Amino acid sequence: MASPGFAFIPRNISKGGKHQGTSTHGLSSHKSESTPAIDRESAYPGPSVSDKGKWKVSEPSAKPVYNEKNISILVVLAFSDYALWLDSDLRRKTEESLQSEEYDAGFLPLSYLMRRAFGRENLGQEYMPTEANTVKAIRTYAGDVLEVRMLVSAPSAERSSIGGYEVRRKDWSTLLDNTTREFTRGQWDDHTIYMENIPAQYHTIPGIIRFAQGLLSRCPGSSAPIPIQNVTLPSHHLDKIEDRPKCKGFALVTLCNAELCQIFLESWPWTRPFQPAESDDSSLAEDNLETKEASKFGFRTLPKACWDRLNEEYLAYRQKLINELADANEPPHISPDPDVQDVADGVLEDTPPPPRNVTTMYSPYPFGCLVFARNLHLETNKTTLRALFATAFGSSPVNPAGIDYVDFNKGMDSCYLRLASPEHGRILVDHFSGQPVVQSHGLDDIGKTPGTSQKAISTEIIEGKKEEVYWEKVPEKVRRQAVEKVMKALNGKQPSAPVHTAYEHSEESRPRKKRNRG
Amino acid sequence: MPVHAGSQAVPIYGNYHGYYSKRPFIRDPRLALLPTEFFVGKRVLDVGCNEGWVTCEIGQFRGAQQVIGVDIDDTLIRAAWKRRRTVWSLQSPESGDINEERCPPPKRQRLLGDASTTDNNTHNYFPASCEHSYGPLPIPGRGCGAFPRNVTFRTVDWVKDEIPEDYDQYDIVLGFSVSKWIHLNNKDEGLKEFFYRVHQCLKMGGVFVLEPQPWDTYSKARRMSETLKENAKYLQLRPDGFGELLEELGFSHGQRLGVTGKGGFRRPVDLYLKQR
Repeated sequence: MASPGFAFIPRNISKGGKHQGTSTHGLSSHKSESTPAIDRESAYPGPSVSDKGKWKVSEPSAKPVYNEKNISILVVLAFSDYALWLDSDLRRKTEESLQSEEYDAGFLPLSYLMRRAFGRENLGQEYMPTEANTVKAIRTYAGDVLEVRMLVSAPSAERSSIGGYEVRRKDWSTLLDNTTREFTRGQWDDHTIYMENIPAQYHTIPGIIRFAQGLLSRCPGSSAPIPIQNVTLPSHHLDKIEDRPKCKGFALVTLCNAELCQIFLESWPWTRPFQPAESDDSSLAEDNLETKEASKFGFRTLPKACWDRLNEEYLAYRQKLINELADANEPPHISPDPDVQDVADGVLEDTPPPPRNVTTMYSPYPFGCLVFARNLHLETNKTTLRALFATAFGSSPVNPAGIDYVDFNKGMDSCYLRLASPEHGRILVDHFSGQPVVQSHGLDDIGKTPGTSQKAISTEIIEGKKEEVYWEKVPEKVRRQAVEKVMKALNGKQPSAPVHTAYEHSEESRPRKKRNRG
Repeated sequence: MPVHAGSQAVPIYGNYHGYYSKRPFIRDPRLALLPTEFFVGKRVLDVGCNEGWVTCEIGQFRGAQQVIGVDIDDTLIRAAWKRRRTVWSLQSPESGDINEERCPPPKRQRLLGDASTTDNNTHNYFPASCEHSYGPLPIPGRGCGAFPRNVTFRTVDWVKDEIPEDYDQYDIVLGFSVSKWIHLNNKDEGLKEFFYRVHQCLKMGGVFVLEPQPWDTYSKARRMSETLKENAKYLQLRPDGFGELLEELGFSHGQRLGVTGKGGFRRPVDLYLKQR
């Protein structure tokens, strides 16, 4: 199954190694020391390990391709006006350097800039471009923007670079007068557009820049030295702070002026009439590759301000849908009239509980099948818990295999249980409230009567909004399977014994960090 | 067995991963051959649905009552559920509550008929980054004739195994670019069995829409594995003869709706009516 010659990379080592970052993302967390051995392996080009540890032949497009063109792009980006505006350390060093004599003014160590350009790419040492590579790249592709020289004088305390190159902006003499130095965040936002349906082959930061530059290349007035000032990849909602966002075909791109923004917004509008896939428009023959690809993929753009508004609308709509779902699942609230309290109490005692939602095949998740248990032994594990809680079914008529899944993290003293049916849930809770137990040790799957100072294991059925919020985090496929299982149980067929499928191991009760590509 | 289908390095069932991300998708050209009203109110089975892009389009835009997508590859089916969620998260809000300025088009108008205004106004309303950044939009519990609840997926080798939905039969069964793979993996008998199953599961008067790959495209596919290579030796049926087989089973003479695709993907789309 695995291609011969590639070492197996365990999932948790390759974590965090494949992500592209933004050019300005996480500046406070960028590392100047060499990256650890773990990252070196994860950068090794080869088959990627998906969530389940299955081998899949990976395409090279997701990996940073450090050809010279891309190197030059990243270095220029690291020294853009936007970078100078955002990065106070870069700005300070540049300003200090600009105090020097003309010959030296504005020069910074190349290694310093390279750390900023590539540091977020999280590569191992052997994959970092060398200073020699970078110098060649700059001279070939960015010679109109950056000037490189070799350090010949004795290194000062500031310029203790190993390779001995320095670089400065060619327009160094006007840097201090640059209007962007006084920009507000809002002014940069006015120069920022949201791009979507970026063709698949450009799904990296240098790729996006090459793509955008290609689209601009035929436009007059697009000869600004650094037309693209910044590229930000939106983080995924499950990303941790230190994660590098991955390009999924969209990005926020900051341009150097409003005119360039207009070119994009007019040429690639957000909404346009549908064109048949097989149009033979002859004007396409004159278009360059980027333009053709943009048309093919449905590339479109939006001013950031509009994008912000749509985000707000999305969030509001999302909340509305959540509320609707929660309302649909809440049992009707019965509040007795205080004047008729005595009568009401009597009535309520006799009244059957409000009908619980019945799971149907259209239910978003199985209702009434979620139990929360606490006061577990801190050293217990899933297997023990499964056996422990299954004791509730031992003497009952229900199928003993009533626990569908134990949602537990090692080291916690609580867990969620997904049951095969609401009836299993009720039996379980009744059992543990009627016969309180504690686990005397981590592997105790029978339980002992609690001592005077010990807290018995408590269980409760989770319903309503809390239930809905829990299931929202469960992958859709698993939710559906749970519904199907409950449907079978409710229809009188025996649910099959819970199979320890790959889901038990791959589906984590905390959000997944890795996501499938595409 | 399907459970291993996704872990094959080679897609011997035609279960290509990333199929749609390489072939950007605005509207499926095969569906465009079918009249606007074709799917309205219908129960549809999409055999070999891959990541469910066509399945979702039918459910979202073509007014189908229920659409079931089946594929042999569980990885693709999981991606199909995700696709459904993504498509839903891109769709504009249903009522005018949220955005008072814009009155959304009535639901009927969301049918393909008025493509020029509905495209990107309805179905690509939200930026794709929203689902990415905030999580998908929850799927309301109400209404089972409405997207996305009207679209579901199953992992199954539908040539061999049944699904519960088969019992209620279908108005429409789609076999888009799937016959070659069924033929190569299951030989003539398997293909006949597939056609038989389609016939059984269709209501009287129901239609089978078949997009068969031409015979000359089998040669490349059969080189994928020893099994396919071996099976190919025994194949006597040809795509040109599928119509006759289907007629024998009780279908009408095939009606050619058109030919779509470019180069190696150029394929006819034929419609068969179950008359007996």
